[in-house]
Amino acid sequence: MGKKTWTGRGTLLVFYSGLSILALLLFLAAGCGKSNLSDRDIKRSQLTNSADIKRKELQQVAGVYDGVLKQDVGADRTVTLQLEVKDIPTPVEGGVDPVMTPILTGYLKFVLGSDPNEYIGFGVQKAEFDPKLNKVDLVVNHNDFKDMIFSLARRDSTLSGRWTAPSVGSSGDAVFTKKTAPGTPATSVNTLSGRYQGAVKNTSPSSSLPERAVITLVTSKDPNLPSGVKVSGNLRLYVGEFGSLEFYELPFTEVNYNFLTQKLVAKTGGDYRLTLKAEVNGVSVTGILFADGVGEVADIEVKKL
Amino acid sequence: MKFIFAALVLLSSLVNAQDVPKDVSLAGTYRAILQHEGSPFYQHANILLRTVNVGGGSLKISANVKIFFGDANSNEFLTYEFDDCPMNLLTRQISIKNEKNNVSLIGFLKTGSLSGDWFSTVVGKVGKFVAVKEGEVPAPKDGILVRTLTGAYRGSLKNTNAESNLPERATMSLVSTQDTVNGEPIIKISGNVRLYLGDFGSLEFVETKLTDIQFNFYNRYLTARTVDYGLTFKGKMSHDGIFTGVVFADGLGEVANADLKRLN
Repeated sequence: MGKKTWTGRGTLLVFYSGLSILALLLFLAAGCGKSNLSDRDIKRSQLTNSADIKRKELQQVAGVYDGVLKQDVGADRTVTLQLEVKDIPTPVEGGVDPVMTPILTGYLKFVLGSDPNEYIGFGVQKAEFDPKLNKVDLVVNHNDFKDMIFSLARRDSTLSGRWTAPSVGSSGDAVFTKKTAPGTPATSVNTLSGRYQGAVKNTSPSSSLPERAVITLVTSKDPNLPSGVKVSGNLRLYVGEFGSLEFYELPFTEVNYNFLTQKLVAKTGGDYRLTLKAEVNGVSVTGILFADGVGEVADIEVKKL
Repeated sequence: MKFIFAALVLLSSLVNAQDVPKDVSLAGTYRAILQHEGSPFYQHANILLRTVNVGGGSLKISANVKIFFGDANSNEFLTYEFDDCPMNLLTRQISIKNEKNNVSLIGFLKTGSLSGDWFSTVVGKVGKFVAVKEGEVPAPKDGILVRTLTGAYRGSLKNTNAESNLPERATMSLVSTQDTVNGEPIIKISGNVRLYLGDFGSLEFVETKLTDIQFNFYNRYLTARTVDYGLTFKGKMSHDGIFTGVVFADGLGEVANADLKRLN
């Protein structure tokens, strides 16, 4: 009986000893873990937390916007702005592993024709959102047209403010309205493509160009061009009535269109080598015709049909 | 009140006149006055322009020029066809010429009008011309219309050869007709000569038909042979109808001077 009691006590002792050792190990483990959380990990944790907060803030302005760029001189332009939050690994000092930091990125798209693929796109180079002031500052860039700078205030789902294009000396108001549902990209109401009909007024005694003109402009996507959009067309000069067959058609062999300033320079080939320098505002083309060898020969004003 | 009403009617008519669409096409008939530089003479002409859009953005212009002798309704005219008349779109200068015709026009074609210089291979630049599509170009002040060759001429023959003794009074009648039998219309001239032994108007005359009549409308040189007696008239017919020339006889040569003046 006594031997049996002794055996039971021994078992209990071993059990309690095991528990004690386990508790000690847990205590040591816990103590040891607490003491090994380095400054690096703390900093990383802080950066991760702040990135999460910033991501939530940026999500407020991310989205697709339909916008209108008004110009101090010239017609309004319809654009699409897409802002999205993207995480990029950001190196941290002190050997901390890169932290995924959210930034705003995206593009600004000028749609030129009815085909949504005919556009000129600016990449968002820099985008800052200040949630306290509710302000968005954007810098978008294009190889040909350089920077456009936007300073916008956010209110509900609208961004409004001013835009400036220093390289071409243009500026104006900008209003962007966030799309609530995904849809088709914005299409410029006043596309460049179209037929424009109007009058030619000779201004040089050396010229006697027909007084009726039709300009046709066609935009098409051309990935080989820096702007990505090719503009072609022709100048038809009517010696008879509009609609008659009494016309001379001079194809444009060279067309340069700056969609920011909306200035068009187009040269015709063939025998006459006329150059059209004009402003296009989507509904009309107004400018001057030059002839090689004579210089300025006529004013031209045509309106979209 | 009447004045106001009249003014309203006038204004209304002006507005209506502006509403009438003006023909601005190039194609059409332009009525022209051709002037002879350095002289008071002028001629009527019709310039018909035709346009064809041949594709490729080009417009082809062809022309038919009808130059009248006499008034604008005269049947004495010369017709020239020009297949291709290039026009400079910038200056609107148009060239109506080709190698087969001895008349050419270089001018400026504006809306509804055409003006410039006209040339002949015989005399070079003849003078200026003005043509309009609507209405008529007024005749030049103090200008003299180039008369038709058709007409009756009366005058004198002066014997210059000792062996000839032609009557000293003569009349010549010339009639021109358009011959379109062989394609392009050409002027055919017929006529006769009367040599008066008695007075003009008497029945004492000898009449003989003229044959092989050649007349250059630009240098105005006329040659005509008589069917009988072997006489040949050579000389110039002035724009106002005075024939001054020489009469030749087969076998004798030059026999007389002729000076005939057109009777109205």
